[in-house]
Amino acid sequence: MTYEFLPHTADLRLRIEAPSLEELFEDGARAMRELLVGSSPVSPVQHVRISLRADTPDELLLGLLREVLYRFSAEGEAPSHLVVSHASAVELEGALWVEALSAGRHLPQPEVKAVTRHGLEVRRSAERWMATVLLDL
Amino acid sequence: MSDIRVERLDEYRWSVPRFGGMRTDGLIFSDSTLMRDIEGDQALSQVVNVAHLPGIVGPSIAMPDIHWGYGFPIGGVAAFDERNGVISPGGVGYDINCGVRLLTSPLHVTGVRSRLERLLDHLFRHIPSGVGAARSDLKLSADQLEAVLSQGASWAIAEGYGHEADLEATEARGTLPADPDAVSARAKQRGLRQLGTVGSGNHFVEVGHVAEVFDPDAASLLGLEVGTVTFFIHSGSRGLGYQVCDDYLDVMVQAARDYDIDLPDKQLCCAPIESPEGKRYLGAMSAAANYAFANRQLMSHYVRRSVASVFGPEVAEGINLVYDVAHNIAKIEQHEVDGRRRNLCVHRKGATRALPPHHPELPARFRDLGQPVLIPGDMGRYSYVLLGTATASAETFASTCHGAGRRMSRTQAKRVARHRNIAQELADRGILVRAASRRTVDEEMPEAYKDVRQVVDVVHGAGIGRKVARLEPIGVVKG
Repeated sequence: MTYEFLPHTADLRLRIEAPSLEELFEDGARAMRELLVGSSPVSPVQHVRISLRADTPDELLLGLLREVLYRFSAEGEAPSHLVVSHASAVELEGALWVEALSAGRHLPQPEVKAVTRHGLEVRRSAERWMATVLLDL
Repeated sequence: MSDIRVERLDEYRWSVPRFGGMRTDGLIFSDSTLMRDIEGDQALSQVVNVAHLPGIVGPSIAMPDIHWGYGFPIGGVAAFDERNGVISPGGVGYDINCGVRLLTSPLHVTGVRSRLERLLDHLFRHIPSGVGAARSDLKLSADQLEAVLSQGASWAIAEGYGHEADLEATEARGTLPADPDAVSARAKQRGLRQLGTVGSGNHFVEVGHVAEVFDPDAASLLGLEVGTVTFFIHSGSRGLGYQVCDDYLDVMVQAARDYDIDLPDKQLCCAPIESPEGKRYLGAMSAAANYAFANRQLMSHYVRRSVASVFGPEVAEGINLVYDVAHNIAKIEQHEVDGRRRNLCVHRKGATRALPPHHPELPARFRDLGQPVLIPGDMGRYSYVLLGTATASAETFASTCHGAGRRMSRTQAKRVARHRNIAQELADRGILVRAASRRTVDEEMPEAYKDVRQVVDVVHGAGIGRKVARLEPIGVVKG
């Protein structure tokens, strides 16, 4: 696991560090899973196709995390994990594995309102990719 | 640490004289103690940034609970000329029409304690949090959702979820002119299964009682006698509102570029009110606001039903709405500026409308009093009821504070609470908590919040709100 949550008065700062862009995105999805369902079990029962295009990797990460949140909030799908099939600075293709939310199985967590653009950054440093995202809770 | 020049005007007013690209001054309501917090936070530079926006009328205003937000600070008020000013989603917030309503009952606190657990169980069962798998029992069709977005609380009344008198005691009668077509399919999808849910975090349904009365005549007219059992509902537009905000932040980032609006901070993205983008955001935001008004009306219904189950229908009949206010919203309002009546788009993010006595928009029963203003505190201490004043009308576009911000981050609060049992601590003090997750209770612990009394004392001292009563919680239901 190469992500951590950092304090920010009313919200949450997520910092991710990964050896590749693919893993950065996959870790982002994992971080969202922890936020949305905590340590509740999630079986990868079905998958949702992720196909995003953006001008920068920052916007790609934003788009991905927003999609995970949307699927949870609107479609009632708990995220298990993301499998990236292709990632570049401007494109992300993959499969988000999910399970239908179930009251007894997926313990409620404080609500995530939005993934914000504030301080959003994805950058490459030496051989590693680093990202920072602020989430509104 | 801030190097922004601040001048003290009087005991409760501070000015940030315009400099650089500011089109107007900043005006902060605070006392010396709270001012230290404000100066240490980035909120002051945000008050300055807001003053850069085109068409701003009057100062960039900050309430005593001002703290950092996205672009606009939380606890801020900014009004813009309808013709040449801008509208900005950051000036409203993610939780569009997050607001509060207060209900009174015929119950007295001494008579309620023996049945409090049962009452809370009912409330917890009938008012789902709406987070995760906890969906609403109310299955809205797409057409019904359209009606909610255009009609707001009126829809709820028409469906049998309350009385006509409730609308009278709601800001804007619970309906704003809206444009449901401007709300995206994604936002509607998020809203479909969340009507009637309270949310989590600092949202709640709280059973309390009137602990102290500051103005006995006014309190009596509002149905607030010492010992009266009250119900406080704090909730907003749920996922629908958050999505509308997200959607339009994207639109406005582009719009600000298209309209050549110079932004000291990208989060202040905005568009002219009269532009297609501005009109669409206003229409979508108002639709989300209507959703929130309808939501709080529904929750009032569930409160009445729970009281009926536990105390009998005659008691439930006696539950009255004191008032319902929004504290994250932008509205077109008429205000007098330099002797002239003008149409302004007033943004209140973490601030509450507070109409003065004799304002034509007030229903008859409040005409001599002014508009009731509800200020929720944390779940361990107290909340307040205030009234709007002529001073607020003159200085803050009839606005006042909305509550108290956090003093501990969520991660910090979780850490502090780790080896404690916050719910038990509160129970030992006579406050019962029912929550969907322990994490929420920990993150919402009373110590995580600043003291709302300080904030209220400043607005009262400054004359932009008049204290009527102080309420204390005895039972809290949280998502």
